[in-house]
Amino acid sequence: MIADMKLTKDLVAASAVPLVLSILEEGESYGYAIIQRVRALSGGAIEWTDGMLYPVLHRLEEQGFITSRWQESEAGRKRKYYALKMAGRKALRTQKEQWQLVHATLGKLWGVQHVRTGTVS
Amino acid sequence: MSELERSLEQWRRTLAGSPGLTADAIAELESHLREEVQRLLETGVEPERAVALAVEKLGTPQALAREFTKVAPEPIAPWWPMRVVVGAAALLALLLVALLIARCLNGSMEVLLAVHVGAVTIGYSLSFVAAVLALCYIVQRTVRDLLPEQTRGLARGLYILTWIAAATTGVGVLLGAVWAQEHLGRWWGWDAKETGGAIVLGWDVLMVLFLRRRAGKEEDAILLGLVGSVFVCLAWFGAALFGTHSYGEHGFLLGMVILAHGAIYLVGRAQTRRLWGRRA
Repeated sequence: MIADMKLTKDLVAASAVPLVLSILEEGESYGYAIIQRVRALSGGAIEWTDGMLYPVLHRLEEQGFITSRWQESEAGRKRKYYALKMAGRKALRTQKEQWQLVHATLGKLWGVQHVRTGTVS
Repeated sequence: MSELERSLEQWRRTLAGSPGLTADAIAELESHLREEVQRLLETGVEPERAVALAVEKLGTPQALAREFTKVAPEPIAPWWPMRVVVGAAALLALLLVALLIARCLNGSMEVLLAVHVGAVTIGYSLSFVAAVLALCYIVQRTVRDLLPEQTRGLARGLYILTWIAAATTGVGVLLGAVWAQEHLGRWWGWDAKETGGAIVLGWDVLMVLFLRRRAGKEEDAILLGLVGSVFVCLAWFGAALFGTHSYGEHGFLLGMVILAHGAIYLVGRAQTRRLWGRRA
Protein backbone atom coordinates (compact mmCIF):
# COMPACT_ATOMS: atom_id res chain seq x y z
CA MET A 1 0.00 0.00 0.00
CA ILE A 2 1.43 3.39 -1.07
CA ALA A 3 -0.12 5.17 1.93
CA ASP A 4 1.89 3.04 4.36
CA MET A 5 5.12 3.26 2.39
CA LYS A 6 7.95 5.49 3.60
CA LEU A 7 10.69 6.60 1.29
CA THR A 8 14.25 5.57 2.10
CA LYS A 9 16.57 8.17 3.62
CA ASP A 10 18.64 8.34 0.43
CA LEU A 11 15.63 8.98 -1.77
CA VAL A 12 14.23 11.57 0.63
CA ALA A 13 17.58 13.38 0.57
CA ALA A 14 17.90 13.16 -3.23
CA SER A 15 14.40 14.49 -3.84
CA ALA A 16 14.65 17.41 -1.39
CA VAL A 17 16.06 19.94 -3.85
CA PRO A 18 13.56 19.33 -6.71
CA LEU A 19 10.70 19.30 -4.20
CA VAL A 20 11.72 22.58 -2.59
CA LEU A 21 12.36 24.28 -5.94
CA SER A 22 9.04 23.02 -7.32
CA ILE A 23 7.10 24.31 -4.32
CA LEU A 24 8.81 27.68 -4.54
CA GLU A 25 7.96 27.79 -8.25
CA GLU A 26 4.32 28.03 -7.12
CA GLY A 27 5.15 31.15 -5.10
CA GLU A 28 7.20 32.26 -2.11
CA SER A 29 6.90 30.17 1.01
CA TYR A 30 8.55 29.47 4.37
CA GLY A 31 10.07 26.34 5.90
CA TYR A 32 7.15 25.13 7.95
CA ALA A 33 4.69 25.56 5.07
CA ILE A 34 7.04 23.76 2.66
CA ILE A 35 7.23 20.76 5.00
CA GLN A 36 3.45 20.67 5.40
CA ARG A 37 2.99 20.89 1.62
CA VAL A 38 5.38 18.00 0.95
CA ARG A 39 3.70 15.92 3.64
CA ALA A 40 0.26 16.59 2.17
CA LEU A 41 1.31 15.98 -1.44
CA SER A 42 3.03 12.69 -0.62
CA GLY A 43 0.29 11.51 1.71
CA GLY A 44 2.86 11.35 4.50
CA ALA A 45 5.21 9.07 2.53
CA ILE A 46 7.92 11.73 2.35
CA GLU A 47 8.71 12.49 5.97
CA TRP A 48 11.46 15.01 6.55
CA THR A 49 13.01 15.56 9.94
CA ASP A 50 11.81 19.13 10.23
CA GLY A 51 15.16 20.72 11.02
CA MET A 52 16.87 19.10 8.03
CA LEU A 53 15.00 21.25 5.51
CA TYR A 54 16.66 24.47 6.62
CA PRO A 55 20.24 23.52 5.71
CA VAL A 56 18.90 22.60 2.25
CA LEU A 57 17.22 26.01 1.95
CA HIS A 58 20.40 27.76 3.10
CA ARG A 59 22.52 25.83 0.61
CA LEU A 60 20.13 26.72 -2.23
CA GLU A 61 20.36 30.36 -1.17
CA GLU A 62 24.15 30.17 -1.02
CA GLN A 63 24.12 28.73 -4.56
CA GLY A 64 22.02 31.68 -5.73
CA PHE A 65 18.93 29.63 -6.60
CA ILE A 66 16.62 31.20 -4.05
CA THR A 67 16.40 34.39 -2.05
CA SER A 68 15.01 35.00 1.43
CA ARG A 69 13.47 37.77 3.52
CA TRP A 70 12.04 38.00 7.01
CA GLN A 71 8.44 39.10 7.19
CA GLU A 72 5.91 39.34 9.97
CA SER A 73 2.72 37.36 9.44
CA GLU A 74 -0.75 38.80 10.10
CA ALA A 75 -0.69 36.98 13.43
CA GLY A 76 2.49 38.85 14.35
CA ARG A 77 4.77 35.84 13.89
CA LYS A 78 8.11 36.40 12.15
CA ARG A 79 8.74 34.04 9.26
CA LYS A 80 11.57 33.71 6.78
CA TYR A 81 10.10 33.56 3.30
CA TYR A 82 11.95 32.05 0.37
CA ALA A 83 11.43 32.82 -3.31
CA LEU A 84 12.81 31.30 -6.49
CA LYS A 85 15.38 33.28 -8.49
CA MET A 86 16.06 32.99 -12.22
CA ALA A 87 19.02 30.67 -11.57
CA GLY A 88 16.69 28.53 -9.45
CA ARG A 89 14.17 28.22 -12.29
CA LYS A 90 16.98 27.10 -14.55
CA ALA A 91 18.17 24.57 -11.95
CA LEU A 92 14.61 23.32 -11.58
CA ARG A 93 14.32 22.78 -15.36
CA THR A 94 17.48 20.67 -15.22
CA GLN A 95 16.17 18.73 -12.21
CA LYS A 96 12.87 18.06 -14.00
CA GLU A 97 14.66 16.74 -17.08
CA GLN A 98 16.85 14.46 -14.98
CA TRP A 99 14.02 13.08 -12.84
CA GLN A 100 11.84 12.56 -15.90
CA LEU A 101 14.68 10.67 -17.54
CA VAL A 102 15.03 8.41 -14.49
CA HIS A 103 11.26 7.96 -14.35
CA ALA A 104 11.00 7.12 -18.06
CA THR A 105 13.93 4.69 -17.88
CA LEU A 106 12.54 2.85 -14.87
CA GLY A 107 9.09 2.91 -16.46
CA LYS A 108 10.43 1.19 -19.57
CA LEU A 109 12.31 -1.41 -17.53
CA TRP A 110 9.53 -2.19 -15.14
CA GLY A 111 6.87 -2.01 -17.85
CA VAL A 112 8.69 -4.79 -19.70
CA GLN A 113 9.13 -6.85 -16.53
CA HIS A 114 5.48 -6.46 -15.60
CA VAL A 115 4.37 -7.68 -19.06
CA ARG A 116 6.72 -10.66 -18.77
CA THR A 117 5.45 -11.64 -15.34
CA GLY A 118 1.87 -10.78 -16.19
CA THR A 119 1.58 -8.24 -13.39
CA VAL A 120 0.41 -5.33 -15.57
CA SER A 121 -3.15 -4.55 -14.62
CA MET B 1 7.58 34.66 31.46
CA SER B 2 5.13 31.87 30.55
CA GLU B 3 5.99 28.18 30.75
CA LEU B 4 6.13 28.05 26.95
CA GLU B 5 8.57 30.96 26.68
CA ARG B 6 10.76 29.44 29.42
CA SER B 7 10.93 26.15 27.49
CA LEU B 8 11.81 27.96 24.26
CA GLU B 9 14.45 30.03 26.05
CA GLN B 10 16.02 26.83 27.36
CA TRP B 11 15.96 25.33 23.85
CA ARG B 12 17.65 28.44 22.43
CA ARG B 13 20.39 28.14 25.04
CA THR B 14 21.10 24.55 24.03
CA LEU B 15 21.60 25.67 20.41
CA ALA B 16 23.60 28.84 21.04
CA GLY B 17 27.25 28.30 20.22
CA SER B 18 26.64 25.16 18.18
CA PRO B 19 28.96 25.09 15.16
CA GLY B 20 27.27 26.11 11.92
CA LEU B 21 24.21 27.53 13.65
CA THR B 22 24.10 31.29 13.17
CA ALA B 23 21.73 33.60 15.07
CA ASP B 24 19.65 33.84 11.87
CA ALA B 25 19.41 30.05 11.57
CA ILE B 26 18.37 29.72 15.22
CA ALA B 27 15.72 32.42 14.74
CA GLU B 28 14.39 30.54 11.72
CA LEU B 29 14.30 27.24 13.62
CA GLU B 30 12.53 28.98 16.50
CA SER B 31 9.95 30.37 14.08
CA HIS B 32 9.37 26.80 12.85
CA LEU B 33 9.17 25.51 16.41
CA ARG B 34 6.55 28.09 17.34
CA GLU B 35 4.42 27.10 14.33
CA GLU B 36 4.53 23.44 15.35
CA VAL B 37 3.90 24.22 19.03
CA GLN B 38 0.90 26.33 18.03
CA ARG B 39 -0.48 23.46 15.93
CA LEU B 40 -0.05 21.02 18.82
CA LEU B 41 -1.64 23.43 21.33
CA GLU B 42 -4.65 23.70 19.03
CA THR B 43 -5.04 19.93 19.21
CA GLY B 44 -5.17 20.14 23.03
CA VAL B 45 -1.60 19.13 23.92
CA GLU B 46 -0.20 20.72 27.13
CA PRO B 47 2.35 23.53 26.47
CA GLU B 48 5.35 21.76 28.00
CA ARG B 49 4.55 18.54 26.14
CA ALA B 50 3.95 20.49 22.92
CA VAL B 51 7.43 22.05 23.09
CA ALA B 52 9.01 18.67 23.82
CA LEU B 53 7.24 17.05 20.86
CA ALA B 54 8.08 19.94 18.51
CA VAL B 55 11.73 19.93 19.57
CA GLU B 56 11.95 16.17 19.02
CA LYS B 57 10.46 16.53 15.55
CA LEU B 58 12.81 19.37 14.69
CA GLY B 59 15.87 17.28 15.51
CA THR B 60 18.39 17.18 18.34
CA PRO B 61 20.77 20.15 18.69
CA GLN B 62 23.66 17.84 17.73
CA ALA B 63 21.91 16.64 14.57
CA LEU B 64 20.94 20.19 13.62
CA ALA B 65 24.48 21.46 14.19
CA ARG B 66 25.84 18.60 12.08
CA GLU B 67 23.53 19.38 9.15
CA PHE B 68 24.07 23.14 9.31
CA THR B 69 27.84 22.69 9.48
CA LYS B 70 27.66 20.90 6.12
CA VAL B 71 26.23 24.01 4.45
CA ALA B 72 28.11 26.65 6.45
CA PRO B 73 30.22 28.87 4.16
CA GLU B 74 33.79 27.68 3.97
CA PRO B 75 36.36 29.94 5.63
CA ILE B 76 37.44 32.60 3.19
CA ALA B 77 41.16 32.21 3.84
CA PRO B 78 41.95 28.61 4.73
CA TRP B 79 45.22 28.67 2.78
CA TRP B 80 48.08 30.38 4.63
CA PRO B 81 49.49 32.47 1.73
CA MET B 82 46.05 34.01 1.42
CA ARG B 83 46.07 35.07 5.06
CA VAL B 84 49.57 36.56 4.66
CA VAL B 85 48.86 38.43 1.40
CA VAL B 86 45.46 39.76 2.48
CA GLY B 87 46.86 40.74 5.90
CA ALA B 88 49.78 42.60 4.31
CA ALA B 89 47.42 44.35 1.87
CA ALA B 90 45.16 45.44 4.72
CA LEU B 91 48.16 46.82 6.63
CA LEU B 92 49.41 48.77 3.59
CA ALA B 93 45.89 50.12 2.99
CA LEU B 94 45.77 51.38 6.59
CA LEU B 95 49.19 53.03 6.19
CA LEU B 96 48.04 54.70 2.96
CA VAL B 97 44.89 56.02 4.62
CA ALA B 98 46.93 57.33 7.58
CA LEU B 99 49.37 59.03 5.18
CA LEU B 100 46.57 60.66 3.20
CA ILE B 101 44.84 61.85 6.37
CA ALA B 102 48.13 63.36 7.56
CA ARG B 103 48.56 65.18 4.24
CA CYS B 104 45.01 66.50 4.43
CA LEU B 105 45.55 67.71 7.99
CA ASN B 106 48.77 69.59 7.14
CA GLY B 107 47.06 71.16 4.12
CA SER B 108 49.30 69.69 1.42
CA MET B 109 46.41 67.80 -0.20
CA GLU B 110 42.71 68.56 -0.52
CA VAL B 111 40.25 66.02 0.87
CA LEU B 112 38.54 65.22 -2.45
CA LEU B 113 41.86 64.43 -4.12
CA ALA B 114 43.02 62.42 -1.10
CA VAL B 115 39.90 60.22 -1.14
CA HIS B 116 40.23 59.79 -4.93
CA VAL B 117 43.89 58.77 -4.64
CA GLY B 118 43.15 56.47 -1.69
CA ALA B 119 40.20 54.74 -3.38
CA VAL B 120 41.99 54.26 -6.72
CA THR B 121 45.19 53.05 -5.05
CA ILE B 122 43.34 50.55 -2.88
CA GLY B 123 41.18 49.40 -5.83
CA TYR B 124 44.16 48.88 -8.13
CA SER B 125 46.18 47.27 -5.34
CA LEU B 126 43.47 44.73 -4.63
CA SER B 127 43.59 43.64 -8.27
CA PHE B 128 47.33 43.17 -7.76
CA VAL B 129 46.64 41.18 -4.61
CA ALA B 130 44.46 38.86 -6.70
CA ALA B 131 47.36 38.45 -9.12
CA VAL B 132 49.82 37.71 -6.31
CA LEU B 133 47.47 35.06 -4.95
CA ALA B 134 47.13 33.52 -8.40
CA LEU B 135 50.92 33.35 -8.65
CA CYS B 136 51.14 31.79 -5.16
CA TYR B 137 48.59 29.25 -6.34
CA ILE B 138 50.69 28.30 -9.38
CA VAL B 139 53.87 28.07 -7.31
CA GLN B 140 52.13 25.99 -4.64
CA ARG B 141 50.89 23.56 -7.27
CA THR B 142 54.40 22.90 -8.50
CA VAL B 143 55.06 21.43 -5.03
CA ARG B 144 51.73 20.02 -3.92
CA ASP B 145 48.08 20.31 -4.97
CA LEU B 146 45.74 22.36 -2.83
CA LEU B 147 42.81 20.66 -1.14
CA PRO B 148 39.55 21.19 -3.06
CA GLU B 149 38.15 23.33 -0.22
CA GLN B 150 41.31 25.46 -0.28
CA THR B 151 40.88 26.04 -4.03
CA ARG B 152 37.22 26.93 -3.53
CA GLY B 153 38.14 29.20 -0.59
CA LEU B 154 40.74 30.95 -2.73
CA ALA B 155 38.25 31.51 -5.57
CA ARG B 156 35.72 32.81 -3.05
CA GLY B 157 38.35 35.12 -1.54
CA LEU B 158 39.23 36.42 -5.02
CA TYR B 159 35.55 37.12 -5.63
CA ILE B 160 35.31 39.22 -2.49
CA LEU B 161 38.62 41.01 -3.21
CA THR B 162 37.54 41.78 -6.79
CA TRP B 163 34.17 43.00 -5.59
CA ILE B 164 35.84 45.42 -3.17
CA ALA B 165 38.35 46.40 -5.89
CA ALA B 166 35.48 47.20 -8.30
CA ALA B 167 33.65 49.24 -5.66
CA THR B 168 36.68 51.26 -4.52
CA THR B 169 37.94 51.81 -8.08
CA GLY B 170 34.43 52.94 -9.06
CA VAL B 171 34.34 55.45 -6.20
CA GLY B 172 37.86 56.61 -7.09
CA VAL B 173 37.05 57.10 -10.78
CA LEU B 174 33.86 58.98 -9.90
CA LEU B 175 35.68 61.30 -7.48
CA GLY B 176 38.41 61.79 -10.07
CA ALA B 177 35.76 63.01 -12.50
CA VAL B 178 34.40 65.42 -9.88
CA TRP B 179 37.93 66.69 -9.19
CA ALA B 180 38.56 67.11 -12.94
CA GLN B 181 35.35 69.13 -13.28
CA GLU B 182 36.44 71.44 -10.46
CA HIS B 183 40.05 71.91 -11.56
CA LEU B 184 40.14 71.23 -15.29
CA GLY B 185 36.63 72.31 -16.22
CA ARG B 186 35.56 68.95 -17.64
CA TRP B 187 34.31 65.68 -16.17
CA TRP B 188 36.09 63.27 -18.44
CA GLY B 189 38.86 63.67 -20.98
CA TRP B 190 40.02 60.15 -21.88
CA ASP B 191 43.58 60.94 -20.90
CA ALA B 192 45.89 58.01 -20.08
CA LYS B 193 44.95 57.88 -16.39
CA GLU B 194 41.21 58.20 -16.96
CA THR B 195 41.23 55.60 -19.71
CA GLY B 196 43.27 53.30 -17.45
CA GLY B 197 40.79 53.75 -14.61
CA ALA B 198 37.87 52.94 -16.90
CA ILE B 199 39.66 49.81 -18.16
CA VAL B 200 40.45 48.56 -14.64
CA LEU B 201 36.90 49.24 -13.50
CA GLY B 202 35.50 47.45 -16.57
CA TRP B 203 37.79 44.49 -15.96
CA ASP B 204 36.85 44.26 -12.27
CA VAL B 205 33.14 44.29 -13.13
CA LEU B 206 33.66 41.54 -15.73
CA MET B 207 35.65 39.52 -13.17
CA VAL B 208 32.88 39.87 -10.56
CA LEU B 209 30.31 38.67 -13.10
CA PHE B 210 32.51 35.74 -14.11
CA LEU B 211 33.33 34.75 -10.55
CA ARG B 212 29.64 34.80 -9.63
CA ARG B 213 29.17 32.00 -12.14
CA ARG B 214 32.38 30.21 -11.27
CA ALA B 215 30.80 26.94 -10.05
CA GLY B 216 33.24 24.17 -10.95
CA LYS B 217 35.59 26.62 -12.63
CA GLU B 218 37.62 27.80 -9.66
CA GLU B 219 40.96 27.28 -11.39
CA ASP B 220 39.93 29.39 -14.40
CA ALA B 221 38.77 32.11 -12.03
CA ILE B 222 42.07 32.10 -10.15
CA LEU B 223 44.08 32.35 -13.37
CA LEU B 224 41.94 35.26 -14.52
CA GLY B 225 43.25 37.13 -11.48
CA LEU B 226 46.61 37.20 -13.27
CA VAL B 227 45.11 38.79 -16.38
CA GLY B 228 43.60 41.57 -14.26
CA SER B 229 47.00 42.67 -13.03
CA VAL B 230 48.11 43.27 -16.64
CA PHE B 231 45.29 45.82 -16.97
CA VAL B 232 46.27 47.39 -13.66
CA CYS B 233 49.92 47.62 -14.77
CA LEU B 234 48.89 49.37 -17.95
CA ALA B 235 46.47 51.67 -16.16
CA TRP B 236 48.78 52.56 -13.31
CA PHE B 237 52.07 52.81 -15.10
CA GLY B 238 50.84 53.44 -18.62
CA ALA B 239 50.23 57.08 -17.75
CA ALA B 240 53.87 57.32 -16.70
CA LEU B 241 55.06 55.75 -19.94
CA PHE B 242 53.06 58.26 -21.92
CA GLY B 243 54.58 60.99 -19.76
CA THR B 244 51.26 62.64 -18.98
CA HIS B 245 51.71 62.75 -15.22
CA SER B 246 54.26 63.89 -12.71
CA TYR B 247 55.98 60.54 -12.39
CA GLY B 248 56.64 60.34 -16.15
CA GLU B 249 60.40 60.51 -15.59
CA HIS B 250 60.21 56.95 -14.21
CA GLY B 251 58.71 55.67 -17.44
CA PHE B 252 61.65 53.44 -18.36
CA LEU B 253 61.68 51.77 -14.94
CA LEU B 254 57.95 51.25 -15.01
CA GLY B 255 58.15 49.86 -18.51
CA MET B 256 60.57 47.29 -17.18
CA VAL B 257 58.08 46.45 -14.44
CA ILE B 258 55.42 45.77 -17.06
CA LEU B 259 57.76 43.64 -19.14
CA ALA B 260 58.82 41.65 -16.06
CA HIS B 261 55.22 41.20 -15.11
CA GLY B 262 54.35 40.00 -18.61
CA ALA B 263 57.18 37.46 -18.45
CA ILE B 264 55.98 36.15 -15.07
CA TYR B 265 52.48 35.92 -16.42
CA LEU B 266 53.55 33.92 -19.49
CA VAL B 267 55.68 31.56 -17.39
CA GLY B 268 52.78 31.10 -14.98
CA ARG B 269 50.40 30.26 -17.79
CA ALA B 270 52.79 27.75 -19.30
CA GLN B 271 53.46 26.19 -15.90
CA THR B 272 49.77 25.89 -15.14
CA ARG B 273 49.03 24.31 -18.52
CA ARG B 274 51.83 21.83 -17.99
CA LEU B 275 50.51 20.94 -14.52
CA TRP B 276 46.93 20.63 -15.69
CA GLY B 277 48.04 18.55 -18.62
CA ARG B 278 49.95 16.26 -16.24
CA ARG B 279 46.95 15.95 -13.95
CA ALA B 280 44.61 15.18 -16.86
